[in-house]
Amino acid sequence: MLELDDVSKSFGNFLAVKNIKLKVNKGDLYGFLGPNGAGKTTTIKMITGLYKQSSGRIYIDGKDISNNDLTLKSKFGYIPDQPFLYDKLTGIEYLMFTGSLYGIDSKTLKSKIDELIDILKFEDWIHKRTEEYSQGMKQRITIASAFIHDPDLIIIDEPMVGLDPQSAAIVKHILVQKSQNGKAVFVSTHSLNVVEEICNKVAIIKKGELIFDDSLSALQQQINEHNPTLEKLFIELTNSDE
Amino acid sequence: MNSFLQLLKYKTVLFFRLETGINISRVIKDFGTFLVYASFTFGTYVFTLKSIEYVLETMKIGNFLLHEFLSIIFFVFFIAVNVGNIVVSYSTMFKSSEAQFLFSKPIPHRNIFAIKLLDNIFYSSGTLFLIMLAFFAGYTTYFNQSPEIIIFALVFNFLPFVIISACLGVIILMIIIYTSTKIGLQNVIIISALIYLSAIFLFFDQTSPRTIVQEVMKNYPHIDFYFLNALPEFVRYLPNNWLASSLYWNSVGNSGLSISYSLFQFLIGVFTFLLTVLVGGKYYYSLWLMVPAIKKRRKKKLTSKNMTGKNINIKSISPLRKDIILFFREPSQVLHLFVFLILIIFFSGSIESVNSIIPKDFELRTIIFFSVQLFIILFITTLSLRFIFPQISLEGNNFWKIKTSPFQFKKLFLIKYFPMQLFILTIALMLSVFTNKSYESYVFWSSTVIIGISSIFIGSLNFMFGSVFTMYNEKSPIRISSSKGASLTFLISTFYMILLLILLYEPTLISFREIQFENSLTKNRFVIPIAILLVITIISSLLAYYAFIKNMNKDY
Repeated sequence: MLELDDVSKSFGNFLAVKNIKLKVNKGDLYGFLGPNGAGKTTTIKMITGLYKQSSGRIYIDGKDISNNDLTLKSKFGYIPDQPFLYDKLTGIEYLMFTGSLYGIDSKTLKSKIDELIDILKFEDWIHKRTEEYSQGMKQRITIASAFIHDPDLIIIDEPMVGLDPQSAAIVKHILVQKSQNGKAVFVSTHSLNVVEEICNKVAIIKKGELIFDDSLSALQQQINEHNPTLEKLFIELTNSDE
Repeated sequence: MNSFLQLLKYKTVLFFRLETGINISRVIKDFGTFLVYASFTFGTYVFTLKSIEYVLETMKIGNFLLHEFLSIIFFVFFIAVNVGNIVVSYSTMFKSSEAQFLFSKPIPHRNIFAIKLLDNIFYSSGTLFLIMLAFFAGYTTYFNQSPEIIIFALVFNFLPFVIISACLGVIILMIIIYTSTKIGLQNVIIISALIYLSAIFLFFDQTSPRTIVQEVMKNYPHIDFYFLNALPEFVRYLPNNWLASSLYWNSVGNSGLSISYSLFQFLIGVFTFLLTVLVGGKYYYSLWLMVPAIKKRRKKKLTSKNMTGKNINIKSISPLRKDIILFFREPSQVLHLFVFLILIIFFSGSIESVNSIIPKDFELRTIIFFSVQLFIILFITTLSLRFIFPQISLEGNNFWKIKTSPFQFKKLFLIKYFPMQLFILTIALMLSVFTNKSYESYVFWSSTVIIGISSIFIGSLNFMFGSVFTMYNEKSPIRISSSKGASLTFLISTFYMILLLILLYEPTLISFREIQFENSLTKNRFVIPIAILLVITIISSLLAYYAFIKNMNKDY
């Protein structure tokens, strides 16, 4: 569903992402781990077309995104780390607006929104303007807007930011359900417990380079006496110079 | 529905949507805003009417010269909108999080470009259109024309005029961004500034008002005709001339020619807009992708060690240091400051030539004196709006950091207000010295004191309103400077200019008359006006402090 082939990104002389290769298949719940500033958001911005890669190719559903094919944008739903909402629109207006950008007719859109209200539990404040929302409410509306066109690929940058435990549990449940329904989910995070709980594949990026790309169980197999937990292992991997 | 129409629909909804919740302070604020806007509109209407009456009936300059002077004002206006749009577009089209949001959706890039272009043109134009509406109302009243003329002139001539200027600004910005990636932003800014300065210099060199007046006055008393030969040929191809010519032909009753000029402007406006959407839309996305590279490049250059301030009490100046660092790391701030500094140099240079033609006639001398002083104050108003008004809002959602720290609000007031006020006061005094040095020493000193006091009044007014109308969610200083609160501040500043006119017109006129006929000067005519202005400024500064402290203690 998503393939990065030797992708690099530089800003002037600074190489932010170096020759990344990875594949996310349908049904994968792919955790993209890395410390702050490792290149996670840069990678995601390249995938979503918000940055242009300096070299390499990115394929969504087998098609090269550098062709600027707009239909490819309908294939994914993107949840950025800092959600953008129009302050003066209500939650429902925002969802209607986002849905209309994907060409969904208003009848389908309304039933889709009802469905999302049920799942994400925001019926109490959906008619309020988004300027009145808390960080968690904003995050939930952004998540709903990414699901509205039922994309095959879901790209999330730090999914749990600002979510309370109930909301976090709901989101995790939805992501698992999506991958079980054959959708590909690409989750960038530095939260190890999220990866441990829901992901089946993991990649670790450090200073722009992929240092691990395999299944979660393969990562867990590296847990040993010296690094008895995933957290210790992650720190060891991302702190070492090699 | 097409994605462009969808975006347009929601943009329109957002444009007209009012603030949430009704409470007494909001009602008072909105009512006050309405009063200021209404009085301002009426004031502009009366000012236009009286000014035309004065220049046509008292000064008897004739219809043609009136419209030629209007044409020059429109040219300055055209350049201001154009340069303003270059700066604003950078923020709204290339740095906004909305653009990022839209680019992640399946929307054709041309549609995003078109909607951002329209947003850019109309976002900060409300006050502009209000001024022009009042201007056209005053104009048509004087020439006894029907109200439809106002609508026609606004829609078919003035609007395309603004669109042409704004579209050219956006295209120039796109060229600047492209060339910046090749030769560096600073070099491009310097080259662009030189090109603009040369263009402005050439325009004023070729269309010297003095030469036009001399040419037209040769035909006195038949000075109402259209003296095509008095104008250099290139002027005929400029939008400001089409706007002024349309008004001229209308004023002399030739509506056919007037409509032709308007339709021509309209067609050129539509053509420019479509061409900008076509060309700009094609390259928008690729240029948008280039912006992070320019930003990274600048970031590296501006991380200088000389900003660390090692030998100073770090706690007491840390917000100031932070403000300075952030200011110089924000390209739009640096670019705008650079544009203003260029304008100051240009203005100081041009004023030299005005001074060389100061007439002996006391009435004419008074008019020239006031035009220059009011222009300085208008310039200070723009500077204050741009650099003082956003000071509090720019703290944004990070204000909690300062508010929760053991930092005295009094000290913070000084840090936020004083450096910018000092900067603006210095510029105001510099301009005053430059422009008034040719006048008699008493006039020189009085006007310099008045300009100094006025700059403090306008600075404090901007700080006060900037503290009342905060926009913590807006990161762009340009958008903050174009907000409703900023427009209100601008309008109050224009009232201040009217007050100045009322207080100073008579003493100035009498002083110049004394100089012309008696060769002497009574040296206390400006004392009372200066005292009144001083009292107003002290009150305004105290209110600015009060508004700031109130803001600091408000729920955040």
